[in-house]
Amino acid sequence: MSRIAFYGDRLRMARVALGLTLDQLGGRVSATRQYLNQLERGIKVPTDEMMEALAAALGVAVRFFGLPADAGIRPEQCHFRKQRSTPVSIVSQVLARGTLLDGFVRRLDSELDLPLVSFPDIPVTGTAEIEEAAEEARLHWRLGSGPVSNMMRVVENAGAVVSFFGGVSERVDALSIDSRRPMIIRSEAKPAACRLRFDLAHEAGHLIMHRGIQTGDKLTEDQANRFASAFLLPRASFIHEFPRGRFLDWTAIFELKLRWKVSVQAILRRAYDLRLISADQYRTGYIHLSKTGQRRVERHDDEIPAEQPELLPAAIQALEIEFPGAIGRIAGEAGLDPGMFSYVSGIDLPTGATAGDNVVPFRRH
Amino acid sequence: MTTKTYPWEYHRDLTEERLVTVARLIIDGRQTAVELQAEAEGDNGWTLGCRAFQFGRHRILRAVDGEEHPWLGVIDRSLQLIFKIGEVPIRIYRGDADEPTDRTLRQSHNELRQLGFSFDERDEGRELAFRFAVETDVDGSALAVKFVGLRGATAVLNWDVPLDDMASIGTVGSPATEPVELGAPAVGVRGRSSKAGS
Repeated sequence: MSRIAFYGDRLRMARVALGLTLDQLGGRVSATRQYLNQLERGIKVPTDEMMEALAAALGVAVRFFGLPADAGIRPEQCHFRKQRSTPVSIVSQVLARGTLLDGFVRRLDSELDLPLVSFPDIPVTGTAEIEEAAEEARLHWRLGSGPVSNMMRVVENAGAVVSFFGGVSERVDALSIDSRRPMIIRSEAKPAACRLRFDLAHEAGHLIMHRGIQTGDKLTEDQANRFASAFLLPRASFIHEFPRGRFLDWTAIFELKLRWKVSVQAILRRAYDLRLISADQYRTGYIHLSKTGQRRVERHDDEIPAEQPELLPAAIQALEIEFPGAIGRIAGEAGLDPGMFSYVSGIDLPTGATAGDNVVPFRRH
Repeated sequence: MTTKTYPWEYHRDLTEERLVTVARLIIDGRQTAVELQAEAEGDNGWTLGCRAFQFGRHRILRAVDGEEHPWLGVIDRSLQLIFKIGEVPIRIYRGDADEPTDRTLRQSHNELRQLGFSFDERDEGRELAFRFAVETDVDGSALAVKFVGLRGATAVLNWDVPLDDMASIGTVGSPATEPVELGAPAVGVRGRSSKAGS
């Protein structure tokens, strides 16, 4: 019998965060799925040797299993596109990784002064309310009615942490977690600049309009898309600038793209939503983009600079300058090995700061 | 011949409220089908089209069977589905309102007979095929629903069913303000006054 505390919930969280099945983990530690299931349910307690094997297989320290469980991220706090066909395992994985990242961000928050969280809470029902919510958010953040110069800074100055989850199913492209400090997470490392800006505005829409609401269905996703569209292209400004005519003026539309840093696809949809063009013109425009090979990568995409997250890197740098090794210590306190830390946070531990190096388990003495 | 713009000018049973109600059933069916679409499992445009139509059909028949609306009835429950609003027979197709296919234009005996009951002999509406045309976006989700009256391949009536609160109406364009340059997010170590960033 082990003398080290062990909580089955913690084992389950680490396993699910990595997207492993009981069988897959069993293969790594030479145990049956039934046995691991009993460990996770708290029916059995592992030996010290098994605990070490599990920790090594999951990229955590043994102490990870004995830490009091953070309150897990609940489904209604986590916004991402879930089709009805999205497997439950993917939803669980996102929630588990979100919970681990949230634990790290909470520790950072307790040691640093980060921007105050200031996402307004504006529930909506119809389209008009979404338009108003987008306008209110612009007003709240004092952005005027012109192009958003840097969408990343908008959400980070509003207190959100933006990070990156690698290895999640491609069905999940971006997500947000409505925690004490909101988190916006992308699953693609370097999307096109316009796409990233739209994704950030979309997630901001969820955080603003869908607090406490289960999202991921078509209705709420469409609402967040409409918000992003309205936020990045405010209706009055857009109506003023969009070139109207019997035919689409591509030169002017691409100029709009460069000025507002919004994809032409999104500009066409906005024009249709505001009935500045007909459904026929919208479709004609989309077919043109498709035929000219611009469905995935559009002209001038490379001229719009990519926006990089600054808050998390700046937080880590500030803490490391003040207290060298602090990030390694925080990761170690959370019981995460460097690999696992990088996996859940999307950032590498600063050089020389190895998680857990300064934590010496009692049992070795 | 007088120029008519709205469905209710063709027949008083075709009120805006009723047309919106039915259009919502059709859209709900299609959006649910889009949500269920699993391309990784082999779904494609064909399965989406089948499912979207059937889901819409199911919702209409369910509303008829549940007697949710006294004005909604059905003439032909088969897969070609002919239902009626008040006395007017109607069918559904996906595609541009202005470009109906031959299949869309086809009128069954049941439909023609019902039109004969609904409109006077000299009434223009008697010669029309009334349809809901569902126009779709790239992913197959509904973009717009039009209520059309087709004479041959020409949509003499083409009415955009108002499905959202049309947020643009009444909005007047006005020049945008200058872009606001934002500083980097401010970060400081707790208890210290200095802050990185802006």
